[in-house]
Amino acid sequence: MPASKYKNGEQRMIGVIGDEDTCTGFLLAGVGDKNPKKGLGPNFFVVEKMTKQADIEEGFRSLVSRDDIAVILICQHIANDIRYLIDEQTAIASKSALPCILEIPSKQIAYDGSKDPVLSKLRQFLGEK
Amino acid sequence: MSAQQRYPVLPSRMSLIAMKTRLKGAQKGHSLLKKKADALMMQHRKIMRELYNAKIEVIEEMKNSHFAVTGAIFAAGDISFSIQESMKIEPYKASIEVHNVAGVSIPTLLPESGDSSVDNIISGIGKGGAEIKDARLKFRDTLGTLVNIAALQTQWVVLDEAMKVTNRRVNALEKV
Repeated sequence: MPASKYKNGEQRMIGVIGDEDTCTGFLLAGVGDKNPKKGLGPNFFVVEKMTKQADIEEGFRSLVSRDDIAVILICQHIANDIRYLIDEQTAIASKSALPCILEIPSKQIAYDGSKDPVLSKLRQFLGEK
Repeated sequence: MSAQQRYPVLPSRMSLIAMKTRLKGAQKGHSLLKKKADALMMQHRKIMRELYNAKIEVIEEMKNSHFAVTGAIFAAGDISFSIQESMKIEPYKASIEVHNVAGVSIPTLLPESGDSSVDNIISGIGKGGAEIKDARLKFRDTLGTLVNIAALQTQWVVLDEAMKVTNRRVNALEKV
């Protein structure tokens, strides 16, 4: 995955990978891109119950490799499905800190703090130190 | 220092002075590196607490925002029109700022400032217009909070990585 070099003062969009309710909410708030640049798709990806695993992975990869997205919001239950891709991305985060991948709770499924890698690491640090 | 590891040095006063200067230089370098590691660790710890609390709080906030959207759908029936209206404004953008902490450049994200464009979206005065507007604003605020959390998270991750590297260097100097 190419590293996105960021500049001071640059403005970037937010990407969303979520179920229908989550995407609805964020699109309502104005996250959607009205003029997507040539070749790049929309900056959000709706995942339903029947969406194939391969499609989810493809959607994630395409959002992550874009250099005009600063944050990717992803519903936790979807994140669990593509956990290995997210771990890969955070492993090379030393080269490109952005886009930042943030896991958010979805409407139906309760948030599980132990599955979120950042949160569990935080708990570890704060518990010991 | 083992007996085998010895510097091949001419035993003269000049080389003694040279050696002493080198030793001072090495010690200064080591203490500077330690200072850098400490500065990074301080920042790291500070951010950690903030990040943790913010992440726990946002769960509640998201629940409320979802609730507002559900209320809007309940009141207005079909809100796909509103969503299309929302797509017409400029997409939400976060600004990137690069800070320098103890020699490490760290990106910060700032939420969008001055969002008057959201108020201009026509929510309609039909049934549910007010609920839609309310849901929209709630989600917008949540977006701001999430951007802040993302900023803290990137900073924390970058600091974590920098700390590891610096500590490795410090340990290399101390132990070997």
